[in-house]
Amino acid sequence: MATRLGLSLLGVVLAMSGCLFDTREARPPDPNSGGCGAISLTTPDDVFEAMTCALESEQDAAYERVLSERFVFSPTQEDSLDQTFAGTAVYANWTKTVEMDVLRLMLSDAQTVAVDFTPSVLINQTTFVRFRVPYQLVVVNVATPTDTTRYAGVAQFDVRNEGGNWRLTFWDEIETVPNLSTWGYLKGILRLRLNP
Amino acid sequence: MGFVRGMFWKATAISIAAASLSVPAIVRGDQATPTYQDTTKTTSTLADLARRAAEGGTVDTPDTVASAPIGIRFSPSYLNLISGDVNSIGMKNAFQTTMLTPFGSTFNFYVSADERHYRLQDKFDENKQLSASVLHVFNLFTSGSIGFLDSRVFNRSVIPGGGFQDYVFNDQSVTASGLYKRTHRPHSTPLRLLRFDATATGAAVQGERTYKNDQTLAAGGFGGVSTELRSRFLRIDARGGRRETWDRSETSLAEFDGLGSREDSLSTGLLTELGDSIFVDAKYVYYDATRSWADQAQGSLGGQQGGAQNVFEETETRSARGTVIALRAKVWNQLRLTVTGNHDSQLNNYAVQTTRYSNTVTDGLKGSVLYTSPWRTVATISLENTETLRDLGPLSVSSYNDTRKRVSIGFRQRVSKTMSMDVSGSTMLTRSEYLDPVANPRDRDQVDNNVAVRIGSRLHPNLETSVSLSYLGSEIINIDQSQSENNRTRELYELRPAFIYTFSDRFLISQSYGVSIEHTDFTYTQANNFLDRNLIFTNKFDYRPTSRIALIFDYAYNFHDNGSYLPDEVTGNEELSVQGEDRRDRILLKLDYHVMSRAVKGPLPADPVLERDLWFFAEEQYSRFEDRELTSDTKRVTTDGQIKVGARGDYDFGNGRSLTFSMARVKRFSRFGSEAEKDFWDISSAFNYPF
Repeated sequence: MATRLGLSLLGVVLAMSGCLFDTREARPPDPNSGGCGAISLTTPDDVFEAMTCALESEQDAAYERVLSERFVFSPTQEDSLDQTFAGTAVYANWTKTVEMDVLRLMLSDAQTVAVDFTPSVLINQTTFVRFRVPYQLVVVNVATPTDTTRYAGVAQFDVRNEGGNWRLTFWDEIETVPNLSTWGYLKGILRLRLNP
Repeated sequence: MGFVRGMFWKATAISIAAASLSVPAIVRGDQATPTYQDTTKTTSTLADLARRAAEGGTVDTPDTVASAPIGIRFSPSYLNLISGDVNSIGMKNAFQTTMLTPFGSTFNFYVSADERHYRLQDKFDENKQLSASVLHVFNLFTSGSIGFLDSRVFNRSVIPGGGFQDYVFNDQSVTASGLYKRTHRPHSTPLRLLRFDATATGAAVQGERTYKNDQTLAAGGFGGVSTELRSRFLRIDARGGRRETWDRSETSLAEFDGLGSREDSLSTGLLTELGDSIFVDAKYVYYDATRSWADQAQGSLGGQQGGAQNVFEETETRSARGTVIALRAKVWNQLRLTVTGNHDSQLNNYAVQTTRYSNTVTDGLKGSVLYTSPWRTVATISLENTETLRDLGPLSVSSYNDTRKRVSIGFRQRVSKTMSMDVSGSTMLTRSEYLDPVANPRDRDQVDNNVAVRIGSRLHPNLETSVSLSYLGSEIINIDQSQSENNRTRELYELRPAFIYTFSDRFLISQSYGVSIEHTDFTYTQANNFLDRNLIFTNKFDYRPTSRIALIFDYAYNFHDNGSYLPDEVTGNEELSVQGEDRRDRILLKLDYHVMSRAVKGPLPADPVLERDLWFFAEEQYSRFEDRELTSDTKRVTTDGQIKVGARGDYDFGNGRSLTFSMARVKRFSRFGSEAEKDFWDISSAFNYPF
């Protein structure tokens, strides 16, 4: 009896999975869209090329390839203690999933995105590289009235070789720039909207 | 972030005394291999203290009343922490004293100073803290506390041009609380047990920020009741609370009066047994809050604009509701069912910065079955469906519906006393549908599948083996033509056998092998596909020739090639074209010499054993990377490594006094990196001295 029940349940699960997990049909890419093609991640520097391309062409799926499954983000202490986030642990457990949700929200509300990474190597090992990365991010939003917001800061990027591909594992914000918010602050604001 | 993140009694009910005792983890080891378990700075002690000071904290009271001591007990202690690595060097000094009186009072005093200088960047951190609190237990049911906290956070960075950028976050706060807790009522007739508690809190906070100063007065009250019926199993509990603050802020240009906040909360729960072995657990949570504060002006996407002229009054409204109903049933001893449904809603609204509006509504249903067969196979099946509406307001085109469906199945079988097998698999569909797909064509689906098999066996008393085989597949589907260029599938296959040979108590060999194949195939561009193949071998010898000496030799080998399936120019058939090969070799040699190992026992049988140990150690790491481009027939070889020599020790002086330290000189060699990164001391020490 128990075996029958177990097998029945298994059958139901498998049968349900067949129809429940059908995906939608995608439309072939527009050849004139000027999107961001696949970039192989064979060197540590490829990470920055792929991220810049993904951000400026607003292709979140291209950005996703760059992130390691164990990606972690850490803000500056200033952002972490900011009064905007009072009472919330907005930066806690910042995984790849959170990073992608936040990025999609940023790209959705952005008319254009321009980014400038200027990395320099701090540590270089055969399967691990740490970069010091001063960055600038310029976002023009779609909301009315349209405005341009500029973010800047300095981060440390840890890039690791995972199965032959270099991927970003740790984005650690370490310095702020006078009179400008960091990208990490923007991330915090966006996550607050997604998970209030 | 939890559903009721703003529930102040959860967030602020932290014991000042307990917090002041906590010691942050010592930063140690190679910065090249950071740990990923706790990297966000929001969880740091300083951040928590500063946040608590800003919000007005309360003091936890003990759950049970301690037996009254005889006379006054005075327990001062000193703590010194030193840490240094490639990134920074810092020291923390802390002094704490606790005084217990025979009248039920506990006085706590804590002062600390923490400095950190960064080696690879021009930066300096200084954090100071002073706190004092008194907790008085009036009787079995009633207690009260008063606390003072002074927290000072200061960061200084040198910016291009040589100027300084300072960050200031200072708070001084006074808190008071009273607690009445009735946990037992023995003579109640209809109710077998009734528990209730009530707490009142008050706080005053003076805060100093970079562009403004804040003053806050806060008051709150909350309590709870729970009961169980005699006749049948029924437990009901409810908690509620209210907190208000009255705030003012001032900048160099303006004053903001009439600021403040109000929070209301209620949570109820019911747990009952419907029939034999069928339990229903229901919970409802309600939270409402408004807050007016002096905010820093922001752009539409949140970028703050510095300067006192950009400070303005903002009002925030938060509202959260949550309902959870769970049913647990034990159908037979071998079959257990669990079904859980939940409905949550969370609203954030702002009076000025209206682009920050968000309303999230979540509905979830989850069911799981656990079945244990007569032949001891444990099978679990779970189904999950969650739908989330993220409404981000009329000024945003990002609002969307998110649907997640997941089925997972797992089997565990113990074949014999020395052999077991685990099989698990899951399928998950994630679907995002934007409410305005014309303005924001980011609709997408993603399917993730994984299957894993692991067999573990002890083939011989001295030989342990395990084999794991796993498959991971993902398909990313962007629906619109503006996004579908990146549509792709990714498949990862891994086979990993491992062996551990225990030759004797002094000699052990661990070996692991691995084959990993990853294939990424872009749907619409035939040439865009990547194949990565890895062959992995690690071999570790752990040898202890004497009880004081430990030798470790670890060798790892990784061969990797990558390529793509490209159409043959003649036949048009897709054939693998290998473009590059690389090989990595890594060697680790480590020697540990246990110079001193003492266990000092006091004269009385009850005296504790004091451990005193000292080790010298030396470690050498070497890595070689050989990269070959097959298309251009070029080869590149890079090497790096490091030598680390030092000592570490633990010394227990007794009576809680202890010294733990590790000190090593590290020299690295690699093609890149600054001199500071190649030659540094890796040190950590903790000295704890109760007087």
